[in-house]
Amino acid sequence: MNPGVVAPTRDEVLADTRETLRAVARALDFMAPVSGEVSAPGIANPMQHMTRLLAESCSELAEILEGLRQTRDLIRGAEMDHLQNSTAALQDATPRSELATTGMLAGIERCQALLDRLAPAASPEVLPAAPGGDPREALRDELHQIMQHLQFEDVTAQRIGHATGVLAEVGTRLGHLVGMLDSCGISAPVRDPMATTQGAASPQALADDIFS
Amino acid sequence: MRFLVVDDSAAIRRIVVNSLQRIGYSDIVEAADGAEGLALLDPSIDFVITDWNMPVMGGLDMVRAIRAQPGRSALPILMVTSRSVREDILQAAQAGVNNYLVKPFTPQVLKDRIDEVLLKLKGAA
Repeated sequence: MNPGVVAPTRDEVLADTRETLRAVARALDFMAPVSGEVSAPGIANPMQHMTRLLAESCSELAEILEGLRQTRDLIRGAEMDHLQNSTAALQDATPRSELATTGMLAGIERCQALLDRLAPAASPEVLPAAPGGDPREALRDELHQIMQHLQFEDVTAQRIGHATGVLAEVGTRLGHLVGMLDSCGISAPVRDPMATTQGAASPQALADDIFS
Repeated sequence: MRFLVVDDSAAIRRIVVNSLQRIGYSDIVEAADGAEGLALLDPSIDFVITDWNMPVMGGLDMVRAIRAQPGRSALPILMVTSRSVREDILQAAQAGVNNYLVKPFTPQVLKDRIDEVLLKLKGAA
């Protein structure tokens, strides 16, 4: 998480919301039509129009909050589990790979030892000279080539170690993100941020207007 | 000539040791990290081959520790590592490494690097 960004607490969010609602209520009171005033054509009542806009905004905000909640749940459930499983699988791959490589190297060394034992015992009839020279030396070269190729294990292990570190870091950051969403009240059931007992028209009047 | 091979990977140590034997060097001591390498470093060691990334103490810290010891400024040190970024190589040179070999390597390339280091130190002496 960016150390410069501090998540607001639930109380701070609620206090901000309260202040905003009060400001909206004051604005609505200010816009309320004076008795006998004629409204603009197409707008029955500017206050009701404003209230409808606010209700629509409220609905959109509720949808956004619901989207954030679903994102949080997805991150917490599927993605973090998937990340942890992938990290564990990668961490498990390195020692297994090293064990297999060590086993192969031991096998190559045993073959080399067998070649050393075979060399003095073998007569030209048993091991005829190859066109390119002594086949035992050629075999020794081949075994050594295989051994050199096994360096891939260390190079791969270094890269897997790096990838594992990156995945762990991503997991930690996702955990922080989920924590931030929790601290902002996303986990709580979505509430109506427009709920107020001050100013403005009654919610029932709005409903009546919309459904009339 | 006595070699000290320092690498946390048992597989790579085997490969380095096998390669050294193949190019004619058989007196070899092994260590699994920088701290163990320092502990095994005595006047009988003529050449150090070390990895970079190791637990407990990395190769770079070990090289710095060796160079800080009196009388070790001319001890030949070859770093064999998979790190191949220019900045890393410069950092290794600044720490006191005499030459740098990027994995994977062949016995011939290892021999060439060892010869190069020894020739340079002989010329400087």
